Amino acid sequence: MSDHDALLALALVGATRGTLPTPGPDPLGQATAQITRPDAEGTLLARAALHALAHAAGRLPDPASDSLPTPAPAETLPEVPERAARHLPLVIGTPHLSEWLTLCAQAGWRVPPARLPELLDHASNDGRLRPLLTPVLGERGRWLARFNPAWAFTPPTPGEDAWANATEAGREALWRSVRERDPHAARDLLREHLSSERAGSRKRLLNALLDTLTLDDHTLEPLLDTLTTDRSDDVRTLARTALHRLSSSAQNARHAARFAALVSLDKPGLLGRLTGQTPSTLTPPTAPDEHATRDGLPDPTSKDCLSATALLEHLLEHTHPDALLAALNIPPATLVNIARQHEHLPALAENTVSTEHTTLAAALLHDLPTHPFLLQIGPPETLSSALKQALRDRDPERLVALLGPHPGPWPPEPSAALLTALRDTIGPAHYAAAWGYRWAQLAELAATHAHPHTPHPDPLPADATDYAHRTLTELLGTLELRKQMWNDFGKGRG
Amino acid sequence: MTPAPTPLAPDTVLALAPDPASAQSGRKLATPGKWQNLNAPPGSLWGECQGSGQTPYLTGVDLSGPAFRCSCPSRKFPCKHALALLLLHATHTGQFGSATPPGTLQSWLDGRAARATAERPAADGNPATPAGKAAPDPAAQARRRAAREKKVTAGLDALQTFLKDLIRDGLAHAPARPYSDWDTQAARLVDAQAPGAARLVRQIPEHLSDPAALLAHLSRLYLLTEAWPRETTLSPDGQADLRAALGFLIDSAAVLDGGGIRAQWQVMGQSLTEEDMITTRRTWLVSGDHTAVLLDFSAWGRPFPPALPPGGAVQAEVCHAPGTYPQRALLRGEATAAAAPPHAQSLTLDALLDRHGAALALNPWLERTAHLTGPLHLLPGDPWYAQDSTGRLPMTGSERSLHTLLALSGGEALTVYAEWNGAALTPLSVQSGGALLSLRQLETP
Repeated sequence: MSDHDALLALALVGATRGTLPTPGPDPLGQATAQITRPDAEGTLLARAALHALAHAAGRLPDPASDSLPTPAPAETLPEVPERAARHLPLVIGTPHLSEWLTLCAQAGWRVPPARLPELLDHASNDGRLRPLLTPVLGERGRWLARFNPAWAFTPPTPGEDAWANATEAGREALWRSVRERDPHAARDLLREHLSSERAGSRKRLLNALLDTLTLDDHTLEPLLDTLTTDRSDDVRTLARTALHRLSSSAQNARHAARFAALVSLDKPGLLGRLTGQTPSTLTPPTAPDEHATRDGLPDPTSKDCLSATALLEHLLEHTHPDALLAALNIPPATLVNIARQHEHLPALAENTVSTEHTTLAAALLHDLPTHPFLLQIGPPETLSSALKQALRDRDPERLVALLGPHPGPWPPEPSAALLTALRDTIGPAHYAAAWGYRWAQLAELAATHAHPHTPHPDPLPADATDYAHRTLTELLGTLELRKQMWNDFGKGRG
Repeated sequence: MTPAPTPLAPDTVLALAPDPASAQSGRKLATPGKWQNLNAPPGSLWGECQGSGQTPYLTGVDLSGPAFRCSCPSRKFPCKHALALLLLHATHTGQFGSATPPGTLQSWLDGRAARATAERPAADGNPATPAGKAAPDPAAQARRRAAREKKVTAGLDALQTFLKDLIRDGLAHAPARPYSDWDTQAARLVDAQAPGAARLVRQIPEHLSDPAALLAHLSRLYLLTEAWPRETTLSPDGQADLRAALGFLIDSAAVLDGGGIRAQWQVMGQSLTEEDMITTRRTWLVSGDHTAVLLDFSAWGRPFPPALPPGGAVQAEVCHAPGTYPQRALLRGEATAAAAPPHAQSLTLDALLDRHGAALALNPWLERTAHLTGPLHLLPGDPWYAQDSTGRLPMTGSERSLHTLLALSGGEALTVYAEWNGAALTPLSVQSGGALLSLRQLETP
């Protein structure tokens, strides 16, 4: 037992329950032996003080470890230059961070290493930032993410064990990154792993597939078909949604056949010929439908079978428009006519939006001219004229509906017109509620979505309120900041 | 012609904020649309920012400090307007004109320049006693001092008895004592005007689960109680060490009157510690072989005085408080921005421990020293370790700052400026790309 341990042992039991240990012959022991006080407690404490100081002053480093982290791979992207990086401290934690990350990715740059922990922390708390941050992480960012479980949403470093060692979020991130570089390899990854994944992981991967689905993914149809009978409701729904979006899928073909059997077009009368409307009648199915359950329909022969009109609504919503049009060999206007006649325009509109079917959207806009999502995918001139009308009418409700879904930046022309509308309406308002919450919402949208190079509107009238001045100044200031940011990124692009 | 001032980096500007709320507000105000005037005449910045009232606030920054002046009612320095003005200068340099400031600001700038000129020669000689300030009465001072020393003696006597009682009963019983025992003892030492000893007593419960650490801590307290009656046998510097450990305030006037080292100092890093609602900010300065630590205190969440720019360099006269291993220092006059002096030589971890040990041999109550150390590899884990060819030491600090170090290293070795408190290294800044990057400034929201 060392001198120190002997002192500690006595101190633990109490100085009166033993005798002071005799110090050893080494120099520290000899120095300790010189320390004596009239009482045992004082001597023990004074000797312990010498040992504590000698220990602290004589400390050596701990033995080195052999398991240093493997260094990060060499970077393949250049670091964002200082002129663009200087905006980062100002936009972190604001809605403009998304725009900064997008511009950085478009320029083909990566974020500075010192900023990585902060950005990864933000992205771990905000799922919308994750896909924007992933392309600008660089090799250093992907390497760094391994050292914090909260950052598992980043794609793991590629390698043989990457998939096996990744968390569910990590697998999704890995798949998305592979998808971006090589869609074919991403499809192979799904074929190899999807059926053996847990339900949560299957859902993540199917959602990621839906986010990036193209017609080339029709080769995944057999895999998606097997998932239509999965144990998980969510997985079944996601698989059917993917098959719905693949226009030539067998599911769409079966739905089209059901549609053709259900709907028969009658001969139009005089009024029909004059108005171009063809009447239709519905014939409910009577024969068993062996694929009904896998396609998300109750068996028509069971007691839960859908009525003819409910079946029509389902088919109008869940069959690709191309398959519906081909089933009866009809133009989009006739399909709209059938939906209108049976009061299922909303179902058809939802289908049109989810499949982004431009021609059907154009046909539907005659019946639903104010549908904001149809306007987004319909002919650009329709959206443009709807916007102009709403701006002329100073109709904030409609403007929010039309501009809200637009990812931004909005084109320069409506951006400038909106700023003018904001200036025209805010003048007499003393506070946000007096201006109207929709206008205030539009001002917030304009700050983040208006084109950064939008020219400033004319100054406010002299009698405008302080609130008006403050709000407009703040909005224009924000646009100025974004303009500077765009300029700084723009210099290096191309 | 005076060259246009180089803008401070946004991170450095945000690190000057007295608190996170000011930094956040400054960021929000850093858009040109909120400013009616933006100007950068040689050596200064000024602008007018629209606030909630009719009259815009007039904000000025003297870049030689930097020093700040604003007509807003905030009592924080720098206020959010001054921070925003500096941020705008970093991001929108092209939008600054060169107009001279309005009269009030110009007078302030002229006054500062005149004072700076007047202070320079005084720094080389003996400074005169400030005019109009009456010299303290030596007899009254002696009476106050004797009264306090009497109180400290009584307090430390009682503490010694308390410590001996603990050892007589056995430390195995210490964890079972009620918490009020430690609080009462600490409160008595506060009453006895020995706040340093009271602080150490309040730390006892942290060590109750580790008998060896507990005995070391108690023995350190005992050393204080034994040293105080023998104070007169110590050297003047030893006496200063003892008084500092007991919590005696330093005699600022005497320290400043004693003169200091006028040189270019690199601001190596800042650290914050919080105890009993008082936050202490330590700013470490290095010039050649000299190290100094400036202490600022913030009670009950009040803002700190303006900070020196972390990672930057200043021209300043630094006066060390007396001590066997002088670290604590005060600035005489104002620090002004300067070119960075060459970096000091970095130490291995073994050499760092040697330096710390040598310091402890002089001042047994020294709590921490700070050193430039490297090249080091980082080992993430619980705890993190810093490792070099001589071995490894545990690290502490925020997760963000440790991950930032790791991100900068990419797994390669790097050189950091870190505090060593005998148990763990706290990194304060890191050498990156030839510059010193403060880790605290990266954490500013």
